Amino acid sequence: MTKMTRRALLWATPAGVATLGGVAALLTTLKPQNKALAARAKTSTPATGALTLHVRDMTKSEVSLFVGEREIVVQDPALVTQLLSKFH
Amino acid sequence: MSSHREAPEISKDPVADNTDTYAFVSPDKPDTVTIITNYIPLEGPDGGPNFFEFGTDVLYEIHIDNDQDADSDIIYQFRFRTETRNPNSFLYNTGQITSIDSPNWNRPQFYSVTRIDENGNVTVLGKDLACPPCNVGVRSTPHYSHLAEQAVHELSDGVTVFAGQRADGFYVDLGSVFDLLDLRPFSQLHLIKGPNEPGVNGLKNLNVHTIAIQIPKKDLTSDRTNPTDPKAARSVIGVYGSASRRKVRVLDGNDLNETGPYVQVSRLANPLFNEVIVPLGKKDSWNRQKPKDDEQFTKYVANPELASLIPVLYPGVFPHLADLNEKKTKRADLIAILLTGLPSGIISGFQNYTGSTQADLLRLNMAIAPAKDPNIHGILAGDLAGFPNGRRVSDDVFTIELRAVAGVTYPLIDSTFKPDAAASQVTDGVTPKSADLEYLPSFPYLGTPYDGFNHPSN
Repeated sequence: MTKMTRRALLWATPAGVATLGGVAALLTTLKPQNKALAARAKTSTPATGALTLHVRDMTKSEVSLFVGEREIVVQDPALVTQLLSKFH
Repeated sequence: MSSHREAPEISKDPVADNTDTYAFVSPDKPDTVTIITNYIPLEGPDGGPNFFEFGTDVLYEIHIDNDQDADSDIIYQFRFRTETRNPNSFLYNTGQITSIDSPNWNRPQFYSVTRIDENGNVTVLGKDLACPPCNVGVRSTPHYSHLAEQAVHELSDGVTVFAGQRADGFYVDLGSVFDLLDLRPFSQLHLIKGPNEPGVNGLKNLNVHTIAIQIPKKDLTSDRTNPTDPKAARSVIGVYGSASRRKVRVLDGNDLNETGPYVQVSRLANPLFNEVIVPLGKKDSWNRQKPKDDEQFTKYVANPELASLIPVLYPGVFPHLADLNEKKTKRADLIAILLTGLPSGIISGFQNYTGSTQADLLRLNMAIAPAKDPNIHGILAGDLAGFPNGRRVSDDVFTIELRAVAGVTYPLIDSTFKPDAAASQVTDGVTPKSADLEYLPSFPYLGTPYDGFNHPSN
């Protein structure tokens, strides 16, 4: 970890902020995926009950499918068109 | 509650509303850390017939960063379920509740505790753990402190947990502070003058719902050894609490269907951050973000609106602060205190730096021993075991943060800056003593909740 001093605490200069931010960005790129957050999926309850479907924008073909605690996003223009036809 | 109803959307969802987060080295067990996250603000003790309870559709979590990247390395999850023993009765209790497994308690609540570590290992630490009932009154829940003691569960590996109603330990003159920052003891100096008066605790006789967990320190460090060196980076953890709801909710006749992954709807680390730092137009968004992405909010810490208001609302009292504001000086002191922690060399014997990633986290240096004689003004008063080194239940976080914003901490950055004399005096005038608050000397540290019979809301 970079040794911090009072001078380094003076975040006022954009250059100083950019430098430290650049180091942080590089570390983010190199760091593997957070395993704790990835493991949250292991604590989800088994899928039962409803299947829910959500189309955020009717003019686009992106469909979100929800079962249990899972979400899958698919691109399916034909499905969106078919679903919209039910409203006519 | 230092962060109750602090954003438009969460104000409509009290069951998922983080109100306070505390993290401190346990004073009676200094080889452990206690972390407390509170939810459900402003609980009136006489809140029947459906007394307050945790949400069974909410995922409550405590997050710990132990490798200085502001990301969650260890997560404790709490999930609740509720039983209705006699659905044919309208009563919360059908007789006296003298033990937490009493059949007279018609709405008992239970929970599980799961730990996820930085390697992705998932461990269920406890299941079907009982909550205590709400403190209804002397007839329904006699000897309430004994009931609450039964709800303290010791789990494997030295972990102790509690989840249930407690007395709200936060104190502040809510009515006056949000009335254009009137501080009753200083009303004569306000732009709109009033008589000087003692502060009034706006949380008087109110309860909260508490999740408390006490963990051996060695289970929180990145290398699983005891933190003994206050100068070492691994002695410092960053903590925040959160609440999440399922992404999709469908009201389907008599059924409620919820599907999809959990989405964070509330979070809390430093007290008052979303309350008074983040502008109204960003508060809901802030609640959805992870702390590691908080650089987008740094500008609100660097030039806080509150700092610009203080000299206006108290004309002539804060000329040095006004000068700082006029120069648009970036408040690097506040950025350090709230977003990165203080590195070594700024305050003798202290550091709680968690790296350069700017994130709202409660930063606890676990190697600093509990104070023998705690001072509610924490580090501002030379008590290195107090806020912002974590947060203890009795710390006067409102006064500490107000004084910091008013300029008392800017000399940490610029030793030539002389704070206004008033900056070290401002307070809302409420203390644990003036508010008659009682904390416990042991886990879960927050006091016995107020009962509805003796503390009606009127």
